[in-house]
Amino acid sequence: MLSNLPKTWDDVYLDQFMALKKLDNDVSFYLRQSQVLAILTDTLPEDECWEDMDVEELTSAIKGLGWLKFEPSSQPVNSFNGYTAIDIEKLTFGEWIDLEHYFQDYFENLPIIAAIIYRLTKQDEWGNIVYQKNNSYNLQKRADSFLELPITYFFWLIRYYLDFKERIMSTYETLFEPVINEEDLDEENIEDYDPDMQKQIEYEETAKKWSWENILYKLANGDVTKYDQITDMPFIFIMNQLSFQKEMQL
Amino acid sequence: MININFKDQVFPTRNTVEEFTIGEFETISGIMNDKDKNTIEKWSEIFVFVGLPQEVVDEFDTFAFIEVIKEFNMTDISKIGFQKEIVLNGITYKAFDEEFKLTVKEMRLIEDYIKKNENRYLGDMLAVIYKRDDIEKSMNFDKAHIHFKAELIRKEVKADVAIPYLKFLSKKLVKDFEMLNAE
Repeated sequence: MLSNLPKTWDDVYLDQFMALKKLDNDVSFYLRQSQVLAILTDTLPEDECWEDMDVEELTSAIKGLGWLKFEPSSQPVNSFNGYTAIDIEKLTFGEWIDLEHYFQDYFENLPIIAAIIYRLTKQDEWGNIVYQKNNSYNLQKRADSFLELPITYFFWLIRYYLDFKERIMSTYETLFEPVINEEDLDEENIEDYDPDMQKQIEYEETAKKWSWENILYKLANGDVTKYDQITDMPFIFIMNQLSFQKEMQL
Repeated sequence: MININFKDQVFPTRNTVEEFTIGEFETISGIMNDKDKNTIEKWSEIFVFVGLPQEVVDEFDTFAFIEVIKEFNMTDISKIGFQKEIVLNGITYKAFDEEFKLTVKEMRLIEDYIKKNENRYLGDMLAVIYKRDDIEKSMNFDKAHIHFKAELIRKEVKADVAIPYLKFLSKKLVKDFEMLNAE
């Protein structure tokens, strides 16, 4: 069993990585070590092979897994098994909204995030690379197919997306400014403010909850039949349009 | 046993680990670990617990009391070795055959008992370590079986039996924890 232990993150699958991330740190020390070993060998901590093991053997095995203390490599893996990572700047508005949603828990949702980013490709009649459209395949099925691939194929996507988001927030700063700055709110309870202010605070909280839907609604002028058209547009184009509208006060 | 002399009276007082049961040793450890008491208060309580009358403890001169405490601590525990077997109610329980080893399951159980009550786990620890080999292996780890055995151990087994296991475990836990958390 111990001879099957991975030697580096390259030998750890995506689903094993997710299981490691979910481990409860508040359990007993030796239980946690057996859980780690069980995950890395696709067994259960209650299996006899672990329970009957000499504790010295367990500690020796864990000692060889010192590399687990460090993160997997963030070296980009642009393609594997026929899939190619789309340039994040070429995402559509709809794909951005999806990624934003899934990034709220990026370890849990890493397979789906990978499924959004990695596409099959083909060449068109002029030799250009064409990426498979996001709505032309089953996202969950693709995500599931990635579970038994090395985590090192996908870990880089986290930093890749977060860096991109930081650039977006900085470039389009004015679009993300709240009307009411939370730091300017002195009172603890909303009831302590005057009615107009209360309305504004409530509106801001609702708007924050529905931010992307709100933008979609405004761009489509309330016409939900136009949503697909808008979500298929490039994300950067949408951001530029929103900046333009805000600056021109349209 | 030491003799504590006070006002022409002699009070024989137990002072070595071989003279206390596991249960008594747990109580003494609990008193020693009480963060709300100072040193003199702890030792006063311990001496009363081991049989010295309260009025004698209350009237002791401080320096004389400190000398008595030193005598209480004089037991050399380094030479106490692992005891392979214990007998409880006529049944033999064995800790090991050739060499003492712990399995992962046993270690996990012991850790859980320590976490549950860090002043009262010795009985449970020994109950995990000492097993019957005339019953199914899984029965030895049944919670009710361990609990029953632990209470017997607290009443009938002397504390010197626990010392080597305590030393082994504390060394092991500290060493493993440090090793795994080293950069």
